[in-house]
Amino acid sequence: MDKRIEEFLLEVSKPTRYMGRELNAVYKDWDQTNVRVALAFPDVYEVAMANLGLKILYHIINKREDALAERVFAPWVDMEEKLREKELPLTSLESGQPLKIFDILGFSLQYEMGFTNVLNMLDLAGIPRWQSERRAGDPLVIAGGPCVFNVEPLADFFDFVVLGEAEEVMHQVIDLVADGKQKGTSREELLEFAARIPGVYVPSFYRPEYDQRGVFSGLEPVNPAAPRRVKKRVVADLDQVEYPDKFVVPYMDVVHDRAMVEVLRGCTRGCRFCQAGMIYRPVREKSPETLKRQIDELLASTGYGEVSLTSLSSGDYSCIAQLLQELAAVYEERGIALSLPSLRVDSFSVSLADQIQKTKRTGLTFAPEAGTQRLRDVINKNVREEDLLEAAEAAFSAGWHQIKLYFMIGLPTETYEDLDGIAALAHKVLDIGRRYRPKNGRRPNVTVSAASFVPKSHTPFQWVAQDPPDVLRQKQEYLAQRLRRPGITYNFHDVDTSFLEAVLARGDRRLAAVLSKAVDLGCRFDAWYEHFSFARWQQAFSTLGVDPSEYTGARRLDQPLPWDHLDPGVSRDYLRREWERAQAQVVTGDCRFTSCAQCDLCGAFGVSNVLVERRAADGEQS
Amino acid sequence: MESKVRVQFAKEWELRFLSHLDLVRTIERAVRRAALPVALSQGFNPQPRIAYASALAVGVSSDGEYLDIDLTHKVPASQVVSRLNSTLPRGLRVVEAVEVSPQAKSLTAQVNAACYLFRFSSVDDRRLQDSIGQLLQTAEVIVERETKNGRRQIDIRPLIYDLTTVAGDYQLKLLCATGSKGNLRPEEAVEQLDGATGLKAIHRQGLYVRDSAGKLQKPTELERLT
Repeated sequence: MDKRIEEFLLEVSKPTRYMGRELNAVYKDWDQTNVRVALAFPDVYEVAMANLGLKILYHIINKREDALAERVFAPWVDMEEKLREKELPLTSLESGQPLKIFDILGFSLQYEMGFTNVLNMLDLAGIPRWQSERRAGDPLVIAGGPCVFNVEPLADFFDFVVLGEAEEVMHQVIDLVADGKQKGTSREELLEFAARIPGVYVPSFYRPEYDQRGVFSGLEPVNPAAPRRVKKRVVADLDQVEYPDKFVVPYMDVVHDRAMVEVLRGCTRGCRFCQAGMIYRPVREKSPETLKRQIDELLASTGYGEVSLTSLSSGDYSCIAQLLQELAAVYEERGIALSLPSLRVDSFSVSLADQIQKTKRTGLTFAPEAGTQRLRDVINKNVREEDLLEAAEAAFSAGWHQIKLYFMIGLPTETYEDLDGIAALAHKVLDIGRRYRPKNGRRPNVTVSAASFVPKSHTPFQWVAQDPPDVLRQKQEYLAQRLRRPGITYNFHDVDTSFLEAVLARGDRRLAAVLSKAVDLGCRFDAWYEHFSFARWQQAFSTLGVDPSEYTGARRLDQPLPWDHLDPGVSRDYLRREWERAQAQVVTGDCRFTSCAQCDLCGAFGVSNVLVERRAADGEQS
Repeated sequence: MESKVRVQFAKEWELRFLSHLDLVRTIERAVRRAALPVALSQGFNPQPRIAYASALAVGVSSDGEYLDIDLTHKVPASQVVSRLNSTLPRGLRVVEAVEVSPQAKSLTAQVNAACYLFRFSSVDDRRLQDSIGQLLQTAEVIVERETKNGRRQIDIRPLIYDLTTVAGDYQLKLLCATGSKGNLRPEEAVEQLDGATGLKAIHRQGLYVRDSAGKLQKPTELERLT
């Protein structure tokens, strides 16, 4: 930490956000280390520390002798005020060095509501906001994470971004910077070398075009080093790739404060609204041996009392029941709890319930997403009502008394009948819970969380309109009335926030000026209800003469899309086919269990699903 | 539960920003890393059985904090010290550990006094001494405290046992009541004084068990088995 901050640290809320000094934090000799990377997350410490991607990069970069990685997160509003008042620059946690003297400043872009914080952090760091204004001596400002698959609203602020998994490409980037430092390569030349690294997208090497109405009509490469389309990076084998054996252990209470082990990456269920399922393919599982070793190492080096088996859908891990059984046998008596994130209704079963309940019991979360079978078929969430009720039965009978159900409203083809379906499901689940009340001794509670659907790039729904804000509000009110019952808690999200998310999610470079203006007007921490100001955003839009609802409307199938040049692997044909199947209410199976859905990824990328059981069958398991 | 070990530890200047809860979390994890056979509580959510004496405020460092840890197997106290010290983050340090009777009275029940040191940026010795003298002669000193139940008036004079100037890194030393039977917040005493401005640091030199005659004992001296 910067010593100057330490002097007034007791005057701000939660001083441990800025203190550093945690167990397993890495302090290297600044002067002896060639390439210095600042890993930035555009939110506060307690949110940022949950991000696994940055933990992986922190470990990988620090393992190199010629490089160091330090962390920097968004200062909370009171700290920001002090920094500006005292004219102190934004500095890293470990060494307290100003961000602007690092070689690389890398942002993790996990959600659109973090975009304003990115620009604000650049300002606080004293780094020119616009890529075009940076000179030799300014850090390379780069980014990674799911939002880079449509980074266009932020494209003018980044020197380059990395698509996909960074474990391997990060080394190439650092090698390039090391080489560049030694040879005195110019910034422009460095970007040309970067553009040639697979997975790297240099926005300044492309020029967007707009038609007479000002609508995006295409993006042209203007530098020979720039490929037509940038293909994401994929790590083929998760058992071989580097994974941390230690995590920095925070002092303060942070989100998801447990030893995280990724059990698999990717998901091929093919839910049509889900961008993560589209961009993280193929599915690659880690072997149980690798998982057990990683869990042991992490528990020994951190002392955490809980292990989280994370992935997009851990219940789908091939041998999940067996793995849980083996883990519980070892960890139960040590008092170590196991947790799984939200589970698919159809992979949750009585036996799984038995395994999880042996260790800690919190609430269980399921995500049916839609209230009727019809709509679930449209979105390809292949979950039947019986599955949900059976899962609820298994959960309550195993002793749970708290179940959370995730839904979305505003899905394509939705009618009020579908909303009635949500209410009906919630009531049925609560009814099941109430039957077990005498046995469980506690009143059952069902929490219904209904998010507003936001159409995302690279999904079969990328052409769909978002429901207008007043329609969403009406639907929320409609649901609220039907969920009024003791034992049911109803959570919903601010509609204006969802609207803005939809604008940014399918935005283009015309939004850069709007973002910049919004930040100048004081927008920051948009993901935090108490700081989000829709009025300021509206002012930014109107000042720049941009109509946000242009971005939330429907797109024509033949229309060029601002993210067409960024390739997550699934083909546009596949997405279009899936959109047509959605409208016909036809479901598509999961290629792990049924036939290939022809998303065209495997052939194009030379990869395939890697499943533990299949590995055993091929005799590849050691 | 096989044995109980009473541990004295220090929270150093560099980690003064930790809250009591942060500290509890940190020690719990250190105990796991040290593979100490800590006993777990019963029920659905077993927690390591570690009990503290008195919460240490954010911003205050200390040389004399205490905790009791219940172990399922006997571990020599010296090993408890070395194993914890080998894994605690820099800024936390075990000073001493002793085995105490498993039936020993809890730290919260016994610990009732604390000794604080204060460092100021500017001190007028004469004025400070006079001010201390005056305060100690006053029968009643009423302060207003914000508690969970709203604002309350509290007489803090009986909570102040001793107050003197000292030489060295710190300039003022306070011995006062702490715990459930009467608790003085160190700033409350300082606010009553003249002649010292710019409070820079508060350090808790130690927690004690004080008897009716005013004799002080370290919690590790009581009930030790060796």
